[in-house]
Amino acid sequence: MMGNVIFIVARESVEALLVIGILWAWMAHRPDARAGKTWLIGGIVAGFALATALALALVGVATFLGNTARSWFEVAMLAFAAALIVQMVFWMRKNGRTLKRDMETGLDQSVARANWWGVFALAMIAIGREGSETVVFLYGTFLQLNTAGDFTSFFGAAAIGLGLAFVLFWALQVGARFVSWKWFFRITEWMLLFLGSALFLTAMGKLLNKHLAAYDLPGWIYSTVWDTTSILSDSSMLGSLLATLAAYRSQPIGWDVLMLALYWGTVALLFVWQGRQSAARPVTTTA
Amino acid sequence: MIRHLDQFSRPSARKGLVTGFVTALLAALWLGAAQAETAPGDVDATGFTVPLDPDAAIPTYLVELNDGALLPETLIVPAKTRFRIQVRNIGTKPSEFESNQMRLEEVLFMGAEATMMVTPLDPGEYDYFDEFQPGVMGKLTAKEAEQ
Repeated sequence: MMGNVIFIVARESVEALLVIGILWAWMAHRPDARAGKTWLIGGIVAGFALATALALALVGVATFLGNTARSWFEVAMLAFAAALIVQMVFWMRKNGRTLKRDMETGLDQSVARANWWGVFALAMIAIGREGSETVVFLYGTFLQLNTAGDFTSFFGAAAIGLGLAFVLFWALQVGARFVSWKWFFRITEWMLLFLGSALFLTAMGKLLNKHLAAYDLPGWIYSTVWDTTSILSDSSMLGSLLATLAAYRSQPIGWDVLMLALYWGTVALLFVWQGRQSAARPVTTTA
Repeated sequence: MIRHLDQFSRPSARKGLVTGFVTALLAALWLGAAQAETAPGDVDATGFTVPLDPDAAIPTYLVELNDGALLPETLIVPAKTRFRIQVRNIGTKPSEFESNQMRLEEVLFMGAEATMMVTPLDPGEYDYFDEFQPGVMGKLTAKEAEQ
């Protein structure tokens, strides 16, 4: 049973610690790192509050919106987190080049402030969503404990699980220091974009199942496009981790493929648009 | 009102009433016995899992979660038809009913229950499991009805 506690806690914390670990490492490369880290920590604290509120609703001791409203809230929260991730990556790409100059001249102050709210919200959602599930799991397990030995091994197991997830956080910080910044940024921005796609696909899956269930959409929307279950099932340990972090599906339907195309299409368009903007930029800013 | 009572108090009508009552009682007993025999996951003569209410327009299938056990571990449903899965946690630990392949995810505290709609599925096999107590993998099969 305690092996299970370690496993669940580690797995549920991976997503949140990946987001926070990358943001934290990025902060270290900004001249205003201190302000950024304060916003990030604020988001983490708010995330724990959100996790507790959501967990209380799941346990059933409190009502948090109605059932329908709560599932809309979930869809909105996930889609918003995906949008924030994309926006964050683009902000960092833009500032990667001009960061120092803009910050020093104070040109970017108001833009930075808006983005700090983004950092705050992203950290809050990352912790709040997965955190609520962890809280329900731990609380439920906690209620079953009887002896002092039970309690000791329970807290030990939870700490080991969290510790394992923190290894990821630590690896990201070490990576940021020892890998060249250019490569670290390139790799982590893709990790974040993939995570964004996973959040978006989960949001759209909930939208289809819970809110569009009454409508008869065209048949291809519901049809399985391909089946790679025999190669890597998304129910397996690796497959479900890839599902959480990179939107892997072993039996996607038309809807899934359409939504992923929509996500990556938008990201690609933004890439192109940003490339044009920065190509035009030196002309307008050298004056 | 009085006339009605009068009618029923006539011997022939009373006999009819008694016969009807006995028939209804027997029918109810038979139905009750038949229902008691169908446990969650039972398969009917055509090879499909019996839904909770066989007459419902959208069939609902019950899955009970009991500390890692899935009851039933297999479901056989008609393909290309939307249906519901009603999940109930009857165990002593919290559980998370999950299926990436059917786009379902629901955290259930002890005693909690949730009903989820599943979109029409192509013929094939789909996994469902309790993410909080991994180990047992449930298998839902969607297949076309035989003509």
